[in-house]
Amino acid sequence: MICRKKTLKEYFDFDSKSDREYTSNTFIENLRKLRYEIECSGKRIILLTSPKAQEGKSIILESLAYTFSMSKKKVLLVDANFSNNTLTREFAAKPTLESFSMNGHENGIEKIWGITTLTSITNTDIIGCDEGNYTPSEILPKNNVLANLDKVISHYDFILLEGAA
Amino acid sequence: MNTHADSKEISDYVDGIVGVFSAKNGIGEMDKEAIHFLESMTVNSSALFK
Repeated sequence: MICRKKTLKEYFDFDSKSDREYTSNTFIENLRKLRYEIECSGKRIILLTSPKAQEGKSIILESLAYTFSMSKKKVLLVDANFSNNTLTREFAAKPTLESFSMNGHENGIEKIWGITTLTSITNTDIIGCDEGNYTPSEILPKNNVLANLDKVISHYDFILLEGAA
Repeated sequence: MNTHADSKEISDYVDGIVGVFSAKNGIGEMDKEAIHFLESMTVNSSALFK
C-alpha cells in the first residue's frame, strides 16, 4: 500500500455540512484562530517571515489564504521572497514585483490588475517575483508595489506578504 | 531573518508581522535575535508554531 501526504487543497476540501467534532483537525482549527486574531487586530497588510528558511512560511501563508477565502475575504498574496519564490512557482504567477512602478500613472492604481495573477484559491490574487541575489531596497524601483500597498489595500480585505528568512 | 535583511526592509510597508516557527526545530541564539527584533517592532507581532 502506498501512503502519500495530503495536499493542502485536500485539507481544505471538506464538506461544510459534515460533523465538525468528528471531521475537524487541529491544523484547520488553529488557522481559524489565527484568522480571528488577524481580523481582530485591525491590521490588514501582514508580513509572514521566519528566523530561518524551511520553517513553513509559504504553507502557512497559503493556508491563511484558504482560511480567509472560507470567510469570503478577498486577499492579495505578494511573494517578496527573492531567495525562494515558492509561492510564485506554486501558482505559476507572473514575476512582476521587481519591475512594476507607479511612476507615470500616479492616479492609476488600477494598473495593479495588469501585474496580478489569479490563483486557484477563491477571491485570491498573487503578485509573483523572480529569485535573485538582492534585497527589496536594492531591486525595487521608485514608487514600487510595496510603497503603494496603502492604495492597493482598497481593492482587498487583506494583503499577505512573504519575505525571505 | 537570521540570514537576510529582506523582511526587516519589508516591515516598513506593513501593518503587522506573523512570525512562523517550526515546532520541529529548537530555538537558538540566532533565533532569539530575530524574536527580539519582532518584539521591538512598533507593529504587533504574533507567533504561530507549526
